[in-house]
Amino acid sequence: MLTLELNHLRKQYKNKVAVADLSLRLEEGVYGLLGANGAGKTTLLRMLCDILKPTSGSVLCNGTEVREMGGEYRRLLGYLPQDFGYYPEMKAERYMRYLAELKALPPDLIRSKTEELLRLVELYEVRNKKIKTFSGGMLRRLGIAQAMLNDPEILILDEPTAGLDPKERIRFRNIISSFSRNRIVILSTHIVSDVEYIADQILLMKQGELISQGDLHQITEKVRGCVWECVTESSQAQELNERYAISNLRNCGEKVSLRIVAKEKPVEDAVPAEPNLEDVYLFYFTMKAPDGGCALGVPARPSVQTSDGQDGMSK
Amino acid sequence: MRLVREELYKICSRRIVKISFAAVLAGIGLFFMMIGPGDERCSIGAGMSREDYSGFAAIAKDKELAAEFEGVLTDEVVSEMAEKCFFQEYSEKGFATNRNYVNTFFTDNGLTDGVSRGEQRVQATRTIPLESTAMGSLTGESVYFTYIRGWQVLKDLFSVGALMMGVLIIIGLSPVFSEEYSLKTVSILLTTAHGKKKDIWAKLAAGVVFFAGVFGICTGFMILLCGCCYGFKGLECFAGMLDGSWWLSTEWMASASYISIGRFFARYFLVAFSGLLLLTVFMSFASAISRQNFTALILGLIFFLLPILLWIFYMMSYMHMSPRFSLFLTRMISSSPVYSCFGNAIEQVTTRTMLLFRGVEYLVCTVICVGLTFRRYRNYQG
Repeated sequence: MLTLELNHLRKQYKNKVAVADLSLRLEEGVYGLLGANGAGKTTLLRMLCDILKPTSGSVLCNGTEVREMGGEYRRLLGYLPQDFGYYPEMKAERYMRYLAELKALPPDLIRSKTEELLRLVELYEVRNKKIKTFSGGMLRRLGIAQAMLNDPEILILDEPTAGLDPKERIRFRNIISSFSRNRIVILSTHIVSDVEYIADQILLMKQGELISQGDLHQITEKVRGCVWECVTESSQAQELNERYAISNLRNCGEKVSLRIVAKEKPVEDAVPAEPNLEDVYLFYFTMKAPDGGCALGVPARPSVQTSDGQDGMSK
Repeated sequence: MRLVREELYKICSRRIVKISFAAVLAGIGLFFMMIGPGDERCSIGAGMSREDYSGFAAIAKDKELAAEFEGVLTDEVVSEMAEKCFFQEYSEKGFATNRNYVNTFFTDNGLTDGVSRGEQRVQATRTIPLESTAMGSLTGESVYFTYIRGWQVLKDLFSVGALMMGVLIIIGLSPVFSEEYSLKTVSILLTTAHGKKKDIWAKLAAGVVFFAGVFGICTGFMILLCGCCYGFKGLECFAGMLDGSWWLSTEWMASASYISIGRFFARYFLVAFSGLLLLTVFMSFASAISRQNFTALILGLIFFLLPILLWIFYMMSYMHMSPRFSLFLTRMISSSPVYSCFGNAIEQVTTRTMLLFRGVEYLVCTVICVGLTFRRYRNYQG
């Protein structure tokens, strides 16, 4: 069974600590890495990919330092970076073949694997078009396809669903779910629902540290008692909106139904609610008000489901 | 091998490379027309009966004229040449008014008592015995005369053509590594099995193949232009005939051995090839340390053209330099890629110590550049 061990991993840029003394053991399964911008997710993933050298600590694959393994480790690896780079003038199929060569795929497998993956991400019909003509979603799908070229045992995806429409995201989730058997898949994202659906384990990062870890149930249990629902007048809703983190707001005729994340009961008639991952995200990444509320850095805004299915609060 | 092919495709598929390559070929063609057929003049006869030809007609007449005297050069042949083709006469501005291939040959190679060197013009009155001329005494062998104008044109054409090739190499190879940074593809490449080793070799090899292709095509094109226009004869002739005026004015040639035109060009091409190969290797390094293609391009141009500035600096201050430092500096400058393309080509390709110096310098530079390229690229940290 494949294991990845992170031992006291630390990355420091001058005075800024991007990843602080992080220790973790990863086994087969899908890991969802959640955190706000600047939490150190990308730095962590780049160290896992052996692109970035840690300031201290080590990454071990089955007990061996990945830097020592070199090419052997990279044969196990599939990586989609946050800023997916591509050659604008190259055609999609050529790009895939080029990467298949780099990933040391056997020559007789390159054509079939390229075709299979381009079909999987629904880019086969445009395989002979230059990549510069692709939309953001198509680029992302191409990125996912290239990451899976070598059937990696360790798949690291940094913001894989950014720019995908709801249909594409569902498709992506299904692909990852079916692909993840007997592999380690690490998924960094802002989109809470992606993690909620497919991650076996959720890792919450804040300011370079791992602040919480567990499966969906364990993670949400930690904020049980901090999620409330209430129905109020619209004038009071405005006041609550400014004081607390509101994870959902819905108009019900003259009244407003609110879902509030707060350590203490925000209003008299508020009732405890079943927490979900969005509540967890708000709990860990926005709560700082001294009165136990969840005041945001900017005036708190309700979560709005956008047309692409993304959470308005999530960014 | 397939990786090299892919990397080569990436280099060659860039629009700027295609345009630059076409521009280089067009530039070579244009320059050839200017210094070749466009500059040809042939005067036959004297006084009122003189016939003047230019362009391709002049080439044809010069060929006919040269064919009459083809063979081993003797005092009798030189005298016959002067009798039939006359000594050159000069205008007030110093241009020969009745030049043709034959009288240019015996004038430029010092076979008369006249002078046609630099700004100096002295009308000849007689031929002088071959054994008392520099050509006769320096070669130590009999000189074979034939029409070699094409090779003279090729020598000048190649100097400029090689410079253009240098610029094309800089343009073509500046993105090899830097593009991976600027397009952000490096993060993916460095996480692949071959990304940190084999692919770096493949990029370096693709650069060399690209350079070799450019060199082969451009050189072949130049040889073809000259050969088709002037003919391919005379490769076994004495290389000094390529540029007599320069040949006679240098002292060092007293110790140089006889070299044929064919051998001269083989060495000249080799010298230019090795110089541009060094530029190719340097470009890989420049590209690996640059985050933008433009930065690599500028670094390449500086490396390529800096020796010209150094040469100007040397000419201004060599009196204050120690002889050893002066020698070191001149050798370093003359073995630079840019001076491999033009300048004292005959000196460069015939002096053994120059070749040795060049070999050692290139080897050291190559090892350093390749080592630093690997180190810089594979340790990319974002």
